[in-house]
Amino acid sequence: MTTPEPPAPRRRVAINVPVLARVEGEGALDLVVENDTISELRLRIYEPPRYFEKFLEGRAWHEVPDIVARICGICPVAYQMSAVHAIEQAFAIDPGPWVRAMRRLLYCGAWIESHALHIHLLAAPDFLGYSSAPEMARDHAAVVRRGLRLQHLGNEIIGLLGGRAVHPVGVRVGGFHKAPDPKAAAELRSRIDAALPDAAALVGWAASLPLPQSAPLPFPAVSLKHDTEYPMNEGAIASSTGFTLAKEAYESRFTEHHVPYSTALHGALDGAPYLVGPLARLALNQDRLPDTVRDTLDATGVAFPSANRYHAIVARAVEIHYALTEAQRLLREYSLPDAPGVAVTPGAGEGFGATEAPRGLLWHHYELDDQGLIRSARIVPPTSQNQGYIEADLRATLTRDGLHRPDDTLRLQAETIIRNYDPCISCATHFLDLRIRRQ
Amino acid sequence: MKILVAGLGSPVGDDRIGWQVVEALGKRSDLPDDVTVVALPHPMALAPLLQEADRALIIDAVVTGGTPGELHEFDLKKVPPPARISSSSHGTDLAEVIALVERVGRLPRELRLLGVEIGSDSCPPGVAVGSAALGMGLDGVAGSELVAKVIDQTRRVVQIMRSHSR
Repeated sequence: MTTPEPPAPRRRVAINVPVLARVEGEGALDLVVENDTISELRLRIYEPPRYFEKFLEGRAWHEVPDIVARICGICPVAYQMSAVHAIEQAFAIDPGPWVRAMRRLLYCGAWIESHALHIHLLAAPDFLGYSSAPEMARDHAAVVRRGLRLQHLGNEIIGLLGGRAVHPVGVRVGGFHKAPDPKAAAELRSRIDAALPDAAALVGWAASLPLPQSAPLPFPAVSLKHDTEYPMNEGAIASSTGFTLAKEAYESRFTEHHVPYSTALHGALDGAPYLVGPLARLALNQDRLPDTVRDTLDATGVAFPSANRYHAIVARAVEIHYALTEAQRLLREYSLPDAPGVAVTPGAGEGFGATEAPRGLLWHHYELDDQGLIRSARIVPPTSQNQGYIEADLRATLTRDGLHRPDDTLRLQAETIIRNYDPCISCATHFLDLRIRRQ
Repeated sequence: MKILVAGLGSPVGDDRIGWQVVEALGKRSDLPDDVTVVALPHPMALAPLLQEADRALIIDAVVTGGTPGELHEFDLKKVPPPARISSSSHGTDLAEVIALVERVGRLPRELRLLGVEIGSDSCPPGVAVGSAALGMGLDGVAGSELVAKVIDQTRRVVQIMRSHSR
């Protein structure tokens, strides 16, 4: 891969092709190659949270779950979860164990849906050498069918609690609008029972993919860490660099800065890029997996923590297996509550929400006035936290494998690297322009 | 799932009409039980639903050069790809998803697209396009007349689909 070529005469090539179709959103990558080194690398992405932060000001506390659900059409549950936890902290509300369990179940659905989509429709074609998911489906129909079945099951879990799959409307501050019918819950559980072998098989399949090896990079993994559970809605913020922080102290170590070429902010941990998401979560929390999930993972021979970023697809499969196992447990213990939530008395306050979106840590901070109107909102999504790290990965991996390779080869590799992080950029359009300039 | 009605589009973008129609539909209780209604931000989310559905109607913003607000209906199974969805505002992605589900052998028995014309960026300056052309304000509220028209047409299509499955 790194066969040296004779130095090329100084040349300038400008390419502007809409290529990166399989990421959730819109963005562009500008690459300037001078002789043998990357002199400029800019991943430009467009993210809507900044607009939403302003839009939330002056809105009432009870409107927040529905408004933030629109920030990301792919993972509305995550935005709702961070928001309700933050507002409940501000109002000093504890919605109790039933709501807590059901929110965990809802998150299981969100992880399953999002990860199954990414594995089968976005990432796997890269590793198996297909230009699109339909093309891959021609040769791997059974695998794709299994993936779609799992994705659908994730939707159904969300639908049980959200009232409407894909864009849930069942979540409110204090709990849910209504409790699922026990018959529907039991019926869903039996389908989860039947699907668990599919999820276990998926882990083996993902681990057997011919995955490339990432170029070496520091691996500062960040995720929530809970005392006893694999983290979803609760826990302290932990880093593999050796610290844990309360969610209220996030801003003491983590910063966001504007870069002139992107509307998204770049996150930094003590000034350096860091990683959030399934690979980081598994690195910090594998000791929280139940035996069945652990045994399935161990049988693959892939060891975590893994600094090979391409193992993210294996981590996603493991998290599908975990989320399905956890959903089974939660539904086994399901009973109809007296009420699907607690009453809310709004008041002035400040609250923080840190939950694990499918793509990684999602941090919210709100200040509310005595009427319960939002005075200020701050939302830090996983993709902006990962952006600096994606750029570092592109630099390291493209350089290691040789910048003299043809543009098409560089383009395909850059696409694969970016897609591997499952960047949720926005839900408006679906292309990323890659522009390579050689000087 | 017997009949799927899926609105495509961004909840906040220029192409939000499909989303909006489905939100209005979802609030009505007079839809038959065998009809599932969803709003989807991305065609990729459609794949698992198509795999499970017997019959499906997709509602999306389209650009064909017609008058904004005009309705178009296509039988997506009769028009050969890729022409069959090139007018949808989610063109390539929707084509990919349909091709994907077709390849795994699970395309619904009936698959129709109800397109709402939103005008095009190539319209002369001053001509409204997208949500603006449909009378939708910044807060995302479409002209109620248009939404009612799309809902009427949706109910008609659903009724025909149900009559086929008897």
